[in-house]
Amino acid sequence: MNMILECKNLTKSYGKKKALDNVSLNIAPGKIVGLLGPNGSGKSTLIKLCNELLTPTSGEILIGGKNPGIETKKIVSYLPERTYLNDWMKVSEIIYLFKDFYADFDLEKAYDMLKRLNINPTDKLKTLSKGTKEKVQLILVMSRKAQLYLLDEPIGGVDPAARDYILNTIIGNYSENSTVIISTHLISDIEKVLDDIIFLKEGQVVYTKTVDEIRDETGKSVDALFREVFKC
Amino acid sequence: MLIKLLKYEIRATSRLLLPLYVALLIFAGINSLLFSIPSEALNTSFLYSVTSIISMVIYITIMVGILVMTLVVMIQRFYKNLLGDEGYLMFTLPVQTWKHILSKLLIAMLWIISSGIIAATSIFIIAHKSLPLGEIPIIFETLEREFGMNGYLFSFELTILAVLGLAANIVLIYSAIALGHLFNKHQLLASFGMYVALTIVCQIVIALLGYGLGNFIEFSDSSMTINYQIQVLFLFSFINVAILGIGSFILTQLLLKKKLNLE
Amino acid sequence: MSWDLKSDRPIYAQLIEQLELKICSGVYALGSKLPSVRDLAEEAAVNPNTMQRALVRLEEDGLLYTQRTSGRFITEDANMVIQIKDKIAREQIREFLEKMINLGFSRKDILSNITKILEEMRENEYDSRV
Repeated sequence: MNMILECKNLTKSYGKKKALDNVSLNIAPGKIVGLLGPNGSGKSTLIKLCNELLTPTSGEILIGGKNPGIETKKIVSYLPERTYLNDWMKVSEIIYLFKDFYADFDLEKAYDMLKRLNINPTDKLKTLSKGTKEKVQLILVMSRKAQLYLLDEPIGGVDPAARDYILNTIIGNYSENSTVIISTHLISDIEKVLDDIIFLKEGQVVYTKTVDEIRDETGKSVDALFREVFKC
Repeated sequence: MLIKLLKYEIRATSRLLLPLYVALLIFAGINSLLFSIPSEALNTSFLYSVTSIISMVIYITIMVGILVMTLVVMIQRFYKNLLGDEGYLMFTLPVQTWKHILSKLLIAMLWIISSGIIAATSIFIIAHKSLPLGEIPIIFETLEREFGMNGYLFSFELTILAVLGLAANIVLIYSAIALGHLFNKHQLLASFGMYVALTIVCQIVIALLGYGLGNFIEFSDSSMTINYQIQVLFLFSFINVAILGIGSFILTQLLLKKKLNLE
Repeated sequence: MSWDLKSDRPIYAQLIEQLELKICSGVYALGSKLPSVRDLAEEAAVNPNTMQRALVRLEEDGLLYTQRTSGRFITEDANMVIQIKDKIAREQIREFLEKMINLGFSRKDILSNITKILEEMRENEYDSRV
């Protein structure tokens, strides 16, 4: 099977510090993958490298067989861990910006999600609360029919109800052709939704298994195993 | 995609500058009206003096405001939209990096030139009676007669050089900001330092080239006309500006593509 | 009936149990159409691939069958359901008995306790009806 994401001996260093250290990974289409690890373990670095927001120090990334660039940006939908919304647009305007630049954007779906989350399209982005901004970004990202969704801490800042909605959106959005990679440290909330788990520790991969493999072999939840592996 | 970028760039910036333009022209009109009232009739009026002073102060304030806002727009749109949090959105759009830089550059130029034109227009509105516009053809004639120069060609060349020089200097500022962004702390200060450093380097390069050119002219036919010398000087300046602009553009593009590190 | 998934056992195995339970208890009637994989996954808040695997397993066991064009259906075979019920009952009783034995009860004690509690439950039911 053709992998949607391949990392080959991927290393990213900042000066002497290695944020990612010789990481090799293969992720197949049609999977929901958890990228788990404590803060500073290299989760965001890996996701940024996939988005060409960083350049690898050594090694290679292939997305759908191509190095990060214009062609991969067309098929990758990325939710960064921070708000990138500007302060002068209305919600409807940023939605049209996405429609303008991404051929796979589904306008109807975006408006549907806005309605379900009670967000007024004519509101100015500047006036939205932090939680609402995160919801708007999630709507922008999930309204694309992308082949690879890279969600960096999508459930960190939102309330439990919105968290459930996000997880339902991810499940409801599932298709055999698209892969979702979710980075988080809030594992217990999402482990039921995941196919595979990647544990990152100090820039290295320590585990790649399926959730049920972990539960079967250890008799523990992924959350419990995580606490054990990363015990301080 | 470049057209789309330009569209959003104009939307993001016009809301900042257009209201100032309108305000400037309105106050230019008010000042012009106040000036046109025969002074003998009102010279002694206290109200007239106060009104004309206030409207002049407002006019000048708006003028300064436009100057500042134009510079802020030029720097902010690059620094904040590409290197700040908004960069997460911009750099994940399926658009080449050079198009981002070019769109910022073209719109910055658009506003700088527009601000210049609006400022000139407002001055014309206020002082059109006392401007020696009728003498321009005479100046051109004199140029033609004394130096064998075509005044229209000369102004055309000067305009092109000014526009290109403007572009080159904006890109130089961009490259300084991109260089400053490599620093972990005090990025704006670092950007300013980089700008000073880059300017010095450019001055040195131009001075060296100029020295070479000086020799070249000296060694060639000494009976050259002034017009010829000016044309050579233009050519030299064009080459300077082109090297400066293209060099800065490539540097900026390289930094944004290979060394990008959004916070 | 909601989905109750424990965190220390494979989700796949738990989904099979819960689906069996839902079929036996009549939440999904015999011969009726099962919701789509995605809807079931959304309802249980689990990964669609895991839900799919559980359904395929139940199909292999004969509790579900697929009609090429119209989706998945529950078996119409009542015997099958009785067998499954029997299986679940045996598992539950075995689990219970193991706990009791661990607590140190003898077989006789366990039996007499069960009879006693059954008696109490019947009285309670009678009381609540009166």
